[in-house]
Amino acid sequence: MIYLDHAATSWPKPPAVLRAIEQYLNDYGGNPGRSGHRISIEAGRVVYEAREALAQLFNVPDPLRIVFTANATEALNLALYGLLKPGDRVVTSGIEHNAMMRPLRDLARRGVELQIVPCNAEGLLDLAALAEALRVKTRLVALNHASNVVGTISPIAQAAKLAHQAGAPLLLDTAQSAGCLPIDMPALGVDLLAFTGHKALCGPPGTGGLVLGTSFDAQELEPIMRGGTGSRSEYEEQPEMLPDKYESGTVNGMGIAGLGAAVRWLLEQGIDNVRAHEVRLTREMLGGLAQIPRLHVYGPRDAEKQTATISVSIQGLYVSDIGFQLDADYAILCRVGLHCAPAAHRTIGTFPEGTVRLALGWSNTLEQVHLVVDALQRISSI
Amino acid sequence: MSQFGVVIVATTSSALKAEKLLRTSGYKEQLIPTPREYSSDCGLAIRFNWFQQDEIKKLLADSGIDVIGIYHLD
Ligand SMILES: Cc1ncc(COP(=O)(O)O)c(C=O)c1O
Repeated sequence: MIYLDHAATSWPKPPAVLRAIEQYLNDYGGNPGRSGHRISIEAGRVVYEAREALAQLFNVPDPLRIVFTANATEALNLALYGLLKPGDRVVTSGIEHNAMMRPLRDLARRGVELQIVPCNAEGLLDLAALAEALRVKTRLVALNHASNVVGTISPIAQAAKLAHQAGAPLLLDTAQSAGCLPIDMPALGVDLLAFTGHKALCGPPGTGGLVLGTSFDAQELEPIMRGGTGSRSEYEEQPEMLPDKYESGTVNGMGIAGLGAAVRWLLEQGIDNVRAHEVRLTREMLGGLAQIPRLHVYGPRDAEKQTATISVSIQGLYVSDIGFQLDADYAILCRVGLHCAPAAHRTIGTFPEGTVRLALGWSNTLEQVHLVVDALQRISSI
Repeated sequence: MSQFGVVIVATTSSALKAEKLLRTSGYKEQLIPTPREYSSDCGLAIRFNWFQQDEIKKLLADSGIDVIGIYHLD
């Protein structure tokens, strides 16, 4: 079996992740941060250490600025609904996932002004158009770091500079980049960062978070949920301190234990090494795919300019049929269709048919890449 | 008066952060349930040897951890 769906979720998970989850449930699964007894403290410590690992990964000095959520979707909702008020203006791009686009469309219905800056057919953000859009007073620039459809890496450092010149903070969706691209928040100029634990970060599903960069004042962001935090229990108002302000209710302790182990594992491997491995696989795959006559590759077609996610179609075949054949005849598992990103598919010109997405990840090998290219070669020549 | 002092902080995360800081700086500290008289800002407090209060106060102040109070335990 060849797993080519890392952009949906990474599989398998590093063994350390499974061990950490098992250990959490077996050995110290008290309620983290609620009680003062030893297994509650131990659970709290595991959660705190996961914050530390993520703070190191994103280069933020204070682990308390990592706010855990269930996934990137919840983190984006927190950032968008917590920040934007009717009358505010928000600028986003044409390569967004619905996790960004649906909250924005809803906010637009509630009186937030939404502007979508176009990307070219390879999914690359038009920086001149962004600069133009930022001539009007803007509350937030919200961008996807890497496309979940074609892997295109957005020019974030430049976009952040433009946003800051216009006085707007930058919110970055790193669902497709955290864990497989180096991300230095202060160096890139990212003020708010949404991540999901279960993709390239190699953690379990049900984990994610919003990182408040040192550059961002938490006074500006309202919580979207309120409730018990284990702190200031005598007050009936939500505490202002981080991360409690945004973390009401018991966190996903076992998931976060797994995520912490995953991030430490990644830091040991070195994100640069993970990236180098994926660039090698992507280059090999792109080279092989280019030889197949009726097959079209979307996106940058340059391993350095994209993640290990590649979208293709074959002339005369439905993407659903290609996906089915890959699974049934070759045990190659990928995702076909629109990938929750109609805006991105419109941008690359594949709406509503969609594409076959070949999403490589840490666990794939060059040998697998060759088998996939052979399979597509055969499917396209029938 | 006992030999111990206690650091009261705002959140459990801060308590864990302070605990880690003290431990890695070589102090013998312990997380304890917050004594009732110091309110319940956070369920966890950090107990330490009172004779080291000056160094510890300075260390915590330099760290930026949101300490609510440092008290001598009865
Ligand atoms: C670009 C992008 N943003 C956001 C998400 C949402 O991630 P999650 O489903 O983990 O919340 C995804 C994943 O599907 C994605 O690819």
